[in-house]
This record gives sequence, C-alpha cells and structure tokens, in this order.
Amino acid sequence: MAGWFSRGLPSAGIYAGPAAWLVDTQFNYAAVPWVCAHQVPLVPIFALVMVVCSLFGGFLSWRGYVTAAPTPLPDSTGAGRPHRFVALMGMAIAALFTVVILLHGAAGLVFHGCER
Amino acid sequence: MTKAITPHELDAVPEVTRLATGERGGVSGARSEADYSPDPKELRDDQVDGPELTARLAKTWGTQKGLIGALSTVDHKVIGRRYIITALFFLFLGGLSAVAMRLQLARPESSLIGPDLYNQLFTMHGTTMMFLFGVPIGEAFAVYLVPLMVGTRNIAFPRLNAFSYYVYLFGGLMIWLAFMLNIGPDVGWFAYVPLSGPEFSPGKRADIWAQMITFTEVAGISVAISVIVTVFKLRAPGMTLDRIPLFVWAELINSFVIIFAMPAVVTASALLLMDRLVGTHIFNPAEGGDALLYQHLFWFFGHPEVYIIFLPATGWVSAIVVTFARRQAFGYIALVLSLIATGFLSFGLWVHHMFTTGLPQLGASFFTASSMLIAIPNGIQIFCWIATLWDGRPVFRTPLLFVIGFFFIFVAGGLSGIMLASVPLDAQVHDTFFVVAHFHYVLIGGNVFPLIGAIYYWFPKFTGRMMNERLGKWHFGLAFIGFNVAFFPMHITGLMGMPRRVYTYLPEMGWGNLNMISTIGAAVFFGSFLLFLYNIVTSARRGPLAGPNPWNAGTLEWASASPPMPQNFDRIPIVTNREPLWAHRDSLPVAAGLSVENREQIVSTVTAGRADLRESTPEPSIWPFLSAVAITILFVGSMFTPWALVWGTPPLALALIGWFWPKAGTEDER
Repeated sequence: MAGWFSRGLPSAGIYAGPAAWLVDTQFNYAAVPWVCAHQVPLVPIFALVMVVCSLFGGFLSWRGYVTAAPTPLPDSTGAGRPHRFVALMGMAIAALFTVVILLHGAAGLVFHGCER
Repeated sequence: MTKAITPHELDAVPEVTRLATGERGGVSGARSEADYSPDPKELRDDQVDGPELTARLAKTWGTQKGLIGALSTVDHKVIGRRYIITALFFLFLGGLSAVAMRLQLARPESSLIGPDLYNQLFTMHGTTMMFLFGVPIGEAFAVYLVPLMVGTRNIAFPRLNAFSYYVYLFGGLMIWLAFMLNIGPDVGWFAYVPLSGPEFSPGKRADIWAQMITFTEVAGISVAISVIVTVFKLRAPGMTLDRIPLFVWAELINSFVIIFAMPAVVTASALLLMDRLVGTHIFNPAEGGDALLYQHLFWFFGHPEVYIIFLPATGWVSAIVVTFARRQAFGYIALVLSLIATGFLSFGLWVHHMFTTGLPQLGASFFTASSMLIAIPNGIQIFCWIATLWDGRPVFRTPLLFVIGFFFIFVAGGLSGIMLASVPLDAQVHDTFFVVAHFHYVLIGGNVFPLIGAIYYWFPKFTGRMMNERLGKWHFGLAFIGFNVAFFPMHITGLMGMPRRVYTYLPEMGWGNLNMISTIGAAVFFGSFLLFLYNIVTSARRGPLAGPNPWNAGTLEWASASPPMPQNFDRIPIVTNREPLWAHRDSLPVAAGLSVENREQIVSTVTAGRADLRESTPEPSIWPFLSAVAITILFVGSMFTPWALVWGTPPLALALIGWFWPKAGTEDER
C-alpha cells in the first residue's frame, strides 16, 4: 500500500472511476424506495463516498505519472511512453467519472424519491 | 521497401535497440521461449530475401484451392472479406424492407402492404440492421484490418474467427428464410414481452427472432475475443499502447463492450425461449414473473449496442481524417480517453429507453444524468477531428466527404438525443416518429456514412483497385440529400403525434405530405446505394490499379501489398512512431528471424509492445465449419423440440473434439 502511495499505480483511475460510478448507479437505483420511505438523503451521501473512491484512483494515477522514469524519450508524435500514457488516461477518466457521480448525487438533492 | 534497422535510426524504444543488438530483454534472470535458439535446420526469414521469401511465405500462409480449402481457411483477410460482403448484403436487404415500408406510408390508407406483412417488415428491418449489419460490419472491418494495422500475420484464435463467420451467416440466412416462408418475426426488433410471449405470439415467429439472437451473439462474442487478444498480444515490436492506431483502439473498446453487453440479451432471449418452449413463466406477471425484467435485460444490452455500432465508426473516421488532413490526430490521448469513457458510460444509460414504464423520477434522473454526460466524450471526439482537419491540409476526396456528412448528421442526431434524455420530453414523444428520426440520424450518421467513407478508403487495400471518384462524389451528394429529405420530416411527423410501427393512417391526421416527402427522400437515398453498388462492381473489375499506399497514409496496413499477400508482411515491421509509414517513408525497419516454413508470429507484451515469444498460429481446418453446422442444427432444432438439446449435442461435441484434437503442426513435425 505504501508503495502505491509513493510510486502510484498508473492504471488505477481507469478502473476506480468507472467502478465507483457503476456501484453508485446500482446503489442509487436500488435505494430509491428506501429513500422515499425514510426521507434520508442517502443518494448525495453515497455519491460523496464514491467520489472519494474515484478521486483516489485518479490520485494513484497521478502518482504513477509523476514518478514515471524520464526515459524513454518520446518519439516525434509524443508517443513511446505507455506508462505515462496510461497514467494520464487514469487521471482523466477518474475526473470525468467524478463529475458523473456528482451529478447523480445532485439528483438526490432535487428529488425526495417519491415522485412518479 | 524494407531494411534491417540500425541503432542510430531508432528513437526511444529500448526494445528496438535490443532487437538490433541481440541483447536480452525482459526480467533479469527470467528465461522465456524467445530466449531459446531457433532450430538451425529451419529456414528463417533472415536467410532468404526478395521474391523467393514472398513466395515461400505465401505458400506457408496461403489458403488451399477448392471447396474444402475455402471452407477450411483461417486467413483473417478471407474471413474478413466474407464478413464485410455478407454484412453489406444484409444492409441491402434491410434497406429494401425500409423502402417497402416507406412506399406503404407514402399515402394515407394505402393498401400496398397489409398489417401482418408490415409487422414482419419493420421487425426484419430493425433486426437485420442491428444484429446482422450494425454489429457484424464493425467486427468485419476489425477482422480484416486489425492484424494488418498492428503488424501481425493473422488474427488470434483464427479458427474461432472462422467459426464465428459461419454461425453468423447461418443465423442470418435462417431468419431471412423464415421471412420468405411468411413466418418472419413480427414482434419488433426488441421483441417485448408479453407481446412476444406464448400468450400473444403463438407459432414460431418469435422463436425464430430469439434464436437468431443466439446465433449472432455467439458469433459476435467470438470475434470480440479474437480482436482483444490480437490487439493485446500480437502487436508488432515497438507498438506501445500509445502508438496503437485509433482505429484499433476503437475496435478494442468495441470488443470489450460486446463481451460485456451481449450476455444480457442472450439471457433475455434464452429466458424468452424457455417461457415459450418449456413453459416457464419468467416474464409472465400472472404467475409471479416480471415483464419489466425483460426490458431491463434487453436494454442493458440494447443501449451499449448503439455504441457497438458507433465505436467502430469512430475508428474509421479517425483513420480517414488523419490521412486526408495530412497530419497526425489532434488530441490522440483525448480521443482514446473518449473511446474508453464512452465504452464505460454506455452501460449506464439503458433505463432511458424505459422512461415511460412508471419508474420513480429520482431513479430515472440518474440515467438522464449519464445520458447527457456521454455527450462529453462524444463532443471531445468531434472537436478533435475538426481540429485535426483545421490544422491540416485536408484533401477532399470521397472518404473525407462522407466523414464531413457524418459530422453534420451525427451532431444533429446527438442534439435530439440530448432532448430525449430529458424525461418530460421523452414521455411526450415516446414511440413516435421523432424517436425514429433521432435514431436514424444517430445510426446512419454515426455508422453508415463513416462506413461508406471507410469502404471508399480501404477499397484499394481490399481489391488492389481504386473506386471511381466522380461516382463517389455523386454518391455522397445523393446520399446526403436523400437521407435528410427522408428523415428530417420525421421529427415533425413525430411531434405531430404519428406513432411508429403503424401500417397506415387516416388522411385527417395531416401527416400525408410529410410522409410523401420522407418516401421521396428514402427513394433517393436507396438510389445512392445502387450507384454505390455499381461503383463497387465496376471498380473491382476495371478500376485503376492502386499500389500499396495510394492515399499516402501512415498506418501499417498500407505497408502491405494491395490486396495483401496471405502472410501480410514479408517481415514483421518494427514500430517507432504513431504513424510508422510517415516516420519511415523510404524504408520500414523490420524484425527478422521468424520461420518461413511454419506459421510463426511474434507475441508481444501488453503495455510496451516488446517482442516476447515466437508462437505458431493454427493452420486451416474444416472443423470450425463443421462445428458451425452442428450448432446450427442444434439451435434450429431446439426451436421445435427441447429434445434437440439432447440429440443435437453429440454431433456438436464430435465436431468440437475434432477441432481441439491435438494435431501435429508443421513445427512439431520438424
């Protein structure tokens, strides 16, 4: 775990962001009747938890990016450094899915769950 | 065209240096098959050169003549060509059924086609376009082009690939044969229960639809597996993850979406068959079943299906835009990011097809959010392509014209898609022609226009001849005008309240003029395809010779002959750049040392694309074809009696045993 924090995991954001969003979608969809019955704003709370998961994946990707070896040098198209590429992808995907999860959470602030 | 590499020519790929110097790579202390010395008695491609090497490799990798040889082939180009032609054949059949429907709807109270045939026509049209054309055409291009673009000699699991083609062909023929016998499915392309259940659809029509799904899904998943393994493990040395062509990325993501989406619809159709044939009540609410479960299962596949159709098109567009803009893709990383994000997000939108089923608004709102946000990756792609053209020196040949048509049409379809993601609007226009207009803008704009551009673009590679440019421009003009005249008025007829899937309407409804305009547009659109067909046939016979790289493109498929030799490349290229042919215009660095006498390929590492192993790929075999025949007998028989699962299994088991029976390959015999 300590190694993850120091060296990072370039692909972490690619899995963590979508996985957090998937869990958020399934949980939210299943929780609607409960939210309606108990009037507890579970949807935005759970969304925040999933946002943390997604951002954590993005953080590990970022660590992977900044600690990547300076070699090999990129070719004329900027390619040839796949670990940095994967890390960049991880950061971006984690950021995108964080936005999607936040939007899901915002729905829980607008609706109280009983509307048909 | 090729030359051995020297270290000073190489940029930033240690693997290439290793290959050039013979220095060992990989994990220190670990040995792999690649480290063992090759058999000194075996002829290798560094011992022979020129035409002799080409001829010897062609003999090793070629397909035997005759019917058995044709049915046994495992050459990805032969299978890919068959896939493409078959999918285009089904496109024409689907188009003909659409023309028939448009003729019926041109006038109110028309009696050209009765309600029963009309029901079959719209079911056959949707089913054909989605399952027999839309999914297979993307995979067909992957089968032909991905091995060429990643610089290998055959697709991974080539027998599985051959098997998939025959299963797809037999499934498509079965449903069209049923239609010709007047037992074609009549329950719509998504065959909702309870309409498709045993209570409301007696007879065999719905069974044929459900079993056709099984055929196409088996085929689709098989190809997807082959494509994924090819991209991950058979890339040319030096093709790191960030050097993979965008087309290959698109097909890779598409294959993952297929593998995760299609089991849902196979489950839905299998459970439907059980309700219909075995007497279960899984979807029968009267006996404790759940009709909405069917919709969830279907659309968990059905919405990713839209992206299964669209993602390969993004690959075609990327390839065409880069080549004709004469510059590398603007925002490669953003484009790959968009593909991956679209692939994931496509699994979180399915409920927007079910907004009118009485879901709680909070539940629906999650899917509204995801549906709107998928516009972000799609928008990024469009802007990247436009930026590539903006900053390049675009050459407006026919392939690029169709891509520009795609921009206009797909963006228009995307805008109406954003509208439909909103629950109140969706509830109003659900099941109207507005929805018909929307998804035709998205699917024809997002798949058919790029596809036609792709055919014009890769036709020289497939056939060795150029298509007629003048006819191509006429084709584009007719297709663009015809399409918009046909489908734009449907937005209005939909807003005026015309429901889809009605075989006629009263004159008092006021929909007559708009429907007549749509039919005229459909006729023009269909006419453009006849011109396209004429162009294909005449160009294949008499078109000017193309040469290996007529467009001066940068990706590896253009390094092979047109049409490619059975071995694809005489020596496996080494990739040092995202556009290898632009980086090495005069001579492409190559790896040497593979066997000339047996089907040997380089297996490489996933991330860095390092050469890792030499691996033999399967030789031609008749067993995949026989297995497909056996599985067809089982699938068709099981629609009539559950005992087919019993008596149909031994022939299939025998065919599979024959397929997998250990046989000595050329390498083992030596």
